[in-house]
Amino acid sequence: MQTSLNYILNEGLSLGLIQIDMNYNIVSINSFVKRHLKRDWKGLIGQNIFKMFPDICSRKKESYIHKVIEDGQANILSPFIHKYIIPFDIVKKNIVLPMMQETRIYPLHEDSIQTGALIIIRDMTEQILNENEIASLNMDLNAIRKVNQLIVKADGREELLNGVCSILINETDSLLVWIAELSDFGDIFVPIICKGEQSEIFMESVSSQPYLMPGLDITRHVIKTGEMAVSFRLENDPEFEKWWGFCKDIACQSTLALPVKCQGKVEYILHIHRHEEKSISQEILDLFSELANDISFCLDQFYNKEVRLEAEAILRTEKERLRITLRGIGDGVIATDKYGSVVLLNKVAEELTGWTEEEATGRHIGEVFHIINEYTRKPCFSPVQNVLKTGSIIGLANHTTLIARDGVERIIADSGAPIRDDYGQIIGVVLVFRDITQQSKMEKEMLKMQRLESIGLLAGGIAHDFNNILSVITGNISFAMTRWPNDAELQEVFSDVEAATHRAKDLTHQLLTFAKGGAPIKKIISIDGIIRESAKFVARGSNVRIIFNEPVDLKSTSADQGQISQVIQNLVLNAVQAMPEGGEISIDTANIEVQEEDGMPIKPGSYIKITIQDNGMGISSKHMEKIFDPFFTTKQKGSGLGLATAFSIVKRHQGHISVKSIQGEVTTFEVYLPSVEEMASDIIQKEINSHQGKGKILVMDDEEPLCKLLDRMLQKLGYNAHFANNGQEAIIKYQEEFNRNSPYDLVILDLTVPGGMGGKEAIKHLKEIDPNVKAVVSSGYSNDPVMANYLDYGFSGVMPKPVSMTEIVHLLKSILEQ
Amino acid sequence: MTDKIEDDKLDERSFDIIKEVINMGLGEAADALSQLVNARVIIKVPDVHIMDIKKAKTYIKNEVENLGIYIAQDFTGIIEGKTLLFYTQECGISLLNTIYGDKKKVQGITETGISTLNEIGNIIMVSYISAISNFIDGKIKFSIPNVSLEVSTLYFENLLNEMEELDKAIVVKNEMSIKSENIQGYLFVLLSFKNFLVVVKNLQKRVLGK
Repeated sequence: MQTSLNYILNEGLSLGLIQIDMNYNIVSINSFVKRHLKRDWKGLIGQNIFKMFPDICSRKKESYIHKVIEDGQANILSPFIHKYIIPFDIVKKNIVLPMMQETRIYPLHEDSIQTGALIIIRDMTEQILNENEIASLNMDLNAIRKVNQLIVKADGREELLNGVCSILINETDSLLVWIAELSDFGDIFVPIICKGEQSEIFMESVSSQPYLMPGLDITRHVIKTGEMAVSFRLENDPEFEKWWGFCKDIACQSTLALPVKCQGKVEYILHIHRHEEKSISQEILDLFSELANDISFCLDQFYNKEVRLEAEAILRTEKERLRITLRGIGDGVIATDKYGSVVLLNKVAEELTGWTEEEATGRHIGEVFHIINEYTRKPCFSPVQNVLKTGSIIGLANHTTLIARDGVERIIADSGAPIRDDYGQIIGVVLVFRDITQQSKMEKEMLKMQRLESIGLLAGGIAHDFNNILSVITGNISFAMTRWPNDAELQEVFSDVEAATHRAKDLTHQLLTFAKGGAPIKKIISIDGIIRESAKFVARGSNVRIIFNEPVDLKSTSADQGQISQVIQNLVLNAVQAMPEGGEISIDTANIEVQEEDGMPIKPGSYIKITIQDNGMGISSKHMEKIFDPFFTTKQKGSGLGLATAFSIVKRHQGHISVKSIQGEVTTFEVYLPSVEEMASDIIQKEINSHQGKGKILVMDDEEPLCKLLDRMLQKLGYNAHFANNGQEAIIKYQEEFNRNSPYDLVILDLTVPGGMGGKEAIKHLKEIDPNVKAVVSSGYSNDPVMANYLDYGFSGVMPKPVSMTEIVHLLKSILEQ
Repeated sequence: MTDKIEDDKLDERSFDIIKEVINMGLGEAADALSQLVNARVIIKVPDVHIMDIKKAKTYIKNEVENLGIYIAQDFTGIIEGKTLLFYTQECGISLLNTIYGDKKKVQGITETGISTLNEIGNIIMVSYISAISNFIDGKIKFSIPNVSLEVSTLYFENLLNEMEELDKAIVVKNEMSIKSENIQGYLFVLLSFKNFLVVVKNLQKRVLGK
């Protein structure tokens, strides 16, 4: 029993047994101890344990054996605290390690007397290595877990990289952790973060070696291969020889260099300095490799985020620029998505549609952009649908009217184009449109004016020829009447024909005035009085009340007083006739400034606006276009020349006349005449006061009061006036004075003298007497062709009746001072 | 005087003597441990009870939810008995992590950890018994320590049952800290004696000269 027990204890245990006596001499050892000895075991027996294993005393572990021998007290020595008691070596893969031991020392007794002690050695090296590895793995795993937590919450590279270094230093068995950043060109790397107790030493080494490149060969290796590099100081690997030379002051035994990539390109190199002298388990290396991949993944996320943010910023800038551009341009712009929902509306579009961008966004285009045909009033086919269907740029049909949210209608010109994405797919439609209402109106006005001009030319031509024909008829009738003076019946027929030809002649005269005659004899006048008198004159006898509304500072205008009076008379007459049952006519005058953008067919500038409004029957829309056409009339007895003449007169004054009407309710005529800054009254007084002439003037007129008036006026102005009742008398008087070699300085001839020679005839004779005669034609009929074209008839000037002092002054100055 | 002393019959002075002896023991233990781990070790004793073994079983069950590591050792000589030291799991792990430091924190108790805890436990246990032994001036011999990681409550209960043959037990609740760090949990030392009266008498004799 004892023999077999001894055998088991000697050979069968994986424990080391050393028996010592009370003198610390070795009594026996078992096979486990023998096999771990570096020397021959036989020499140990009987020898003092402390002498055989001096390491025990040098490591101050002898007291634990002493206590057992001296106090009989058992002891347990753990490997973590003591490492080992008896120095044994373990060789693992050519690496020599000290055996880590749990040692128990028990007293040995024989018959209750202690005879020595038994040292039991349990090899825990493998256990400790495994535990250390597991602990290390646990720490590294924990570090990775924390790095992953950091990856989730880190906001940027700096926070991430700093955090990674701190975690690796605090949570793993690493001595120094630092990161080098690679330059954009990949040839320079600079340590940017360093953590650990030796970080100062390391950074000193870095700063003292400006040319790091050759020294950091492990870093270059990682950059070159893109793979992790591991080196151990003791390996003396020539590849990383310079590295360990560089790290001579850093207390580490191994270095891991890991590539940290962004978008597959090495950007940083993570260096981890470790204490492992000869090997680092593959599991740990894999974990660090995984860690580097995790950091790289995070950098990719940052990069993607940066790219995305950059793209978003560019997009925002572009969008803002586009928004500002769109809001700044003069055309309305509406963009929709491919379903026709509004996504953008610029400022002009807001104004034209009446929808704000905020309100319109998301609504269907048809709701916001409501268009109809100007004439048919039927909805237009959706331009958005058209673009989406055809995929091409389209223009709107003519006469498209946009109805704004508030019901205001505007004629628009528009085009639509598809919006395509990078792949050419249509993702929406953009509509660009502009308000051409004014333009359209102007075009219509221009067309109307051109038409009237053409009609005028035609009418003038016809009137001229017709006048010649009438002259032949009139002449021959006169001849016929003298041929058969005693045939009463024939005379009556001839008289009727003659009367008819006179009426026809009057008509041709009017037509000629409309067409080409009647050039305005302009002077600066205040028109408020003219308007009042002309309007009252026409309305006299009717049951129409006229309400005048005029500003006190109404400007003057340069106009032909007689013609303007005729315009007012024609317009008021039209209004009176529109209200057979009576009513009110309001006549408003105002100073206005016409701007370019008002879109009126007149030059921008200061104008007097005369608004004549009646509340009669109105004008139907179908008649509106033709209302200024000659011979267009809705009245049974009308000539159709009243409004045409008014239009013609205003146009010759560089003015404009327009009409608006709501049938059955109201008609409004607006007359624009250019205004002048100078006040007519000032000019009058100035001219009167300043003019002082001399010479003699012959006045031919059959009306005595007028002759007296002219006598007073001319005398006041320094002239000597002579008078004649008709043309014959005037010729005689002129001849007499001419013969006396003192001809009249000026002759004023009345155009028409009932029963006598008028001015038109008299001038011919006066010209025969004196080709240089200066004569002025005077008449109350300002639209008489002779008055308008007085030069053609040999006159030097024209004096419309009634005449004012200013007009006389003006006339005399213009003729006599030439 | 009977051979056995009831709780309420143990006079206050004797109890004070025992507590004083225990305190001396823990002082020695703390010194020994401080040298061992090369850091200041403080052992506090919030509770010392003298009770029957049966009551000790209940007391331990009430105090400790999960047993961790225990170490048992018989001693013979002028006084005979059994000591039992056990760590709670929390105390064991906390103690190890305090000794290992930040670099090697453990979540559980490993073989190396058991070994370390055994060494510490042995030092404490021996210190207490040695303190008593020194007082009664008698030689005490220690048997081989029986160390085990507790795997079965039954096993531990059987161990306690073995102690029922014994008389009274001194149950010491220890709270240990190293490097001024608090350690979660407690370790308990149960000193049971074959004849507690002999222990008390010897202590009284030594201390009071009676």
